[in-house]
Amino acid sequence: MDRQRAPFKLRGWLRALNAGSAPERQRFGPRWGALLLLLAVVAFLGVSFFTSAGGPLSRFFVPMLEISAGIVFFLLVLVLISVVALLLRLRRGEVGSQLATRLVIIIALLSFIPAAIVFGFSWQYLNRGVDSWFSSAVQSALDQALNVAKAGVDRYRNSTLLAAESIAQALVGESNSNAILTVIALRDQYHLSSVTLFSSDNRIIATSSNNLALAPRLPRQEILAMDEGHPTANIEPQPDGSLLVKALIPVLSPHLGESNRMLYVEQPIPEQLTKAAEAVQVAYNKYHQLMLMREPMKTAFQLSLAVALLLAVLSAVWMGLHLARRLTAPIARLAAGTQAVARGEFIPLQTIASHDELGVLLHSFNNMTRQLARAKQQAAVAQEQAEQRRLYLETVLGQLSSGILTFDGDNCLAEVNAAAVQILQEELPRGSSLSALQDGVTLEPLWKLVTDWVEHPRNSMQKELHLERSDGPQTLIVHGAQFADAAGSHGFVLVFDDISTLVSAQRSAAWSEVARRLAHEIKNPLTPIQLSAERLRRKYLEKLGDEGETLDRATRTIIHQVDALKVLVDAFSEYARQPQLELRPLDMNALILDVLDLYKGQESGIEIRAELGADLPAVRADVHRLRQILNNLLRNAMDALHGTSEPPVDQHIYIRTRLTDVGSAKMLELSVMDDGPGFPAELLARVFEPYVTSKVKGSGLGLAIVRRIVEEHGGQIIADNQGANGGARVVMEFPLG
Amino acid sequence: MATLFDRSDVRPTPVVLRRRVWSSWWLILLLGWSGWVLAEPAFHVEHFVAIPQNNAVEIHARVQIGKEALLQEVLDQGQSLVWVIEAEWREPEPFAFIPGVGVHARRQLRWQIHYYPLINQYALENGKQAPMRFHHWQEVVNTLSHIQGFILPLEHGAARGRVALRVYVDIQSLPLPLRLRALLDHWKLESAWIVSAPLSS
Repeated sequence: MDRQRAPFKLRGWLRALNAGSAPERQRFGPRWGALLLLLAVVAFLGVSFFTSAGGPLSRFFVPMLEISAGIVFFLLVLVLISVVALLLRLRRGEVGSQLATRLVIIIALLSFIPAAIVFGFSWQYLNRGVDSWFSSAVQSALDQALNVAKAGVDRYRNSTLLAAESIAQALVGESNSNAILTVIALRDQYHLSSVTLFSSDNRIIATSSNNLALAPRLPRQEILAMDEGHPTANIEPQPDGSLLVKALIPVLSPHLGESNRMLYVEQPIPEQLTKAAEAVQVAYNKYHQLMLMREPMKTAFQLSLAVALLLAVLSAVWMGLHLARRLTAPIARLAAGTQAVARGEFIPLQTIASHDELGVLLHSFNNMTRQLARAKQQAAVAQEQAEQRRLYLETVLGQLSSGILTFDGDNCLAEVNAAAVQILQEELPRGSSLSALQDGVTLEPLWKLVTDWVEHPRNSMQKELHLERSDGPQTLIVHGAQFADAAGSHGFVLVFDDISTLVSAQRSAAWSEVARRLAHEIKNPLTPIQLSAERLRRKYLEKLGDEGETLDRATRTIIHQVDALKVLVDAFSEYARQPQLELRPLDMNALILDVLDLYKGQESGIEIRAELGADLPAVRADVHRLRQILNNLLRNAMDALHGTSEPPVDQHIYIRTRLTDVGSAKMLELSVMDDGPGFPAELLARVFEPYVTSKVKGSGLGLAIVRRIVEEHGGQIIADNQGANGGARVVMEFPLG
Repeated sequence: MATLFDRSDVRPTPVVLRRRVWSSWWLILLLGWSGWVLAEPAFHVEHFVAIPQNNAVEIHARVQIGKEALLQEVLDQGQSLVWVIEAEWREPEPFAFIPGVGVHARRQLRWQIHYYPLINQYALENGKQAPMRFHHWQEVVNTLSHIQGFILPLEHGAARGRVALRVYVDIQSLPLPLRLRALLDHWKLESAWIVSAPLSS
């Protein structure tokens, strides 16, 4: 799998490093810092040890110093990286960066100030201490002492040289055999240690020494060093520490052509003088060595001090950074946690294994977060339940046929259910004040009633209210109730029902009762009246002859009026009839075509068009009642069309059937419409009421009977002027199945 | 006017930036290290002649000694110095560039240089021969400048390969503060290795 490495971002890494949030593999700072710190301390201790130890171990000083410098350098780099990281965090305003910065500064100052003071005093003390080792007086005294020692030694050298020259002078001209005695005698005379006479070819001619055990040494080096045969005397340190004067003098030969002999004299400088001179030389050397090492020693100590100071300060800064990181990391976590809580994320923080205040704080924060999470969960559950209850209530209210309006304490509309909108036939925006709702004209009585009730509060209110609609009067029964719950909210609720249908039904029932009574009370005497009138005609009309015209007219009127009354009474009887239906499956289209057959061939100038839906299912109905409905409606339509012109020309009646869906129920819709003038507007809402008619003739019960029959079949009926060209339309729906 | 290779609007990628940062670090370290390494050696070996003999190489050379005043100052202040002549017999081998690899014989001759203010003499001692004494510093310098008949014994047969020679003052034998001064002041009292021509028996 090809894995691409994410590019290393220095700034992000520095911030993460200082914030303690860097990945584990990138967090080498603390570990390397601790390791380097340890190494630096060890190296510094090593430097100090080797500085003070001296001797062979001191050869490790420079390497240890270099190692210390290197480690301090890397520690410095590490600290600088951490400081830069901290500054970046500070610049970004990250939480905890200011505290960390202050902490680092305080710790750095607390460590730097005493260390710097100690460093300064040590520096001064060191300089003065080292300088105090040296003084011009000491140096002058040592120089003088060395000069004195030199003078003492030189005096011996010169005296030895003089003695050697005297002996050489005495040997001039002496034969080799005599020279032996001369050498012995003069050596004793001058108290010399050794006197040897050499020939030009380095043969010993004569020698005398106070140490007979040693053979005389050939002074080859001295001869080589002798400058052009001039007398010379040198002082040589001996392995035993003594000083030996070696003088070499040419012994001139008085004879021409004879080579010169050489006199070699050795004379040790007295031990007392040698020791004193050596002591002076040693002191002189040591003093000058010290002078030579004066500045390097200062430098060494200063370097050690500087390394110690740097080590102390860097250690303090590094520990401060580490401490700040440890301290601010939980604070940053807390800040991130609070921000998460502010965002609504109740995620417990990663705890630290600490029992200090921060650990307790993190623990408490986590407890709080868990409690908040539980509370939020509970609140969410409660809110969900409340929402479900609200939805349930809304559903219930929506399903209610009663209109419900709730108003809050400020008399503003809070809730409206669908039935309220349907009943009031007006959109009522939530939040509208009661005064704003009063702008409308139609609902003014309602709002006036509510306003009066609100202004003169009573616990409850119930009123029947009549609204004038364009399609007729609307009767509402309005209930009002004040409420105030435990939460302190208050307001009132209005519940109202459209009882127009109920009122209409009551009126219809009243009319039925009236009709039944009328039919019962009037029908009975009509037959005797008619029979009596016909008997009077038969018995007296012929007897009266020409004078019977009045009787004829009167009895005929009586008979005609009684017939009219009978028709009227029959209509009343029909209207008041108790429902006795014989429901059978019925093909509506076939029935319509059967009825229309009766109207064919009439020269009325009215065309009846049947627009029948195909494949209509059978409807359970009483064929006689439906036939009556069709006849009534067709007759009404014809009557209406006849009223427009005499005779009607190019007038139409339409009968339509189709399937409709009303909710989940299938209905068979039967419509009868025409292209006449339509129902008078003032009668439209009441056309199904008895005795409501626009015709001059007629009982006014036709449409009332039609509605009664439709309702007896469980159907619905409406009437409007949405027929052809604004003509009347009656729509009926019959349930199927 | 923008050219085809106008890169003024090209910003370096993070990889390039990272390389630059690391390059800067290496440059700083290199400069610090090179300050010591690039300091000029105080001594130079010249006229280096290696003469193969039986199981040995006889070496002759001249040494140009610099910083004489410094050496004399140190000696006059009572501090002894150790003058080292070091010769190596090297044969070409893999990884011969590593110090010590390919070296089959080595010899060091150490001379201790003293100054005796009491008798105003310089002395060269090696613990084996009689000390050499000089009244003048320049005599010491002349003596040290001549390497005559320095014998490098070869224990492993005939000479081949090359002989390398160098001289130096053993800083490690100095007192600690002087070693520090030698380090900080870049005394570098040494010569580079001078390698002879290939030996042939």
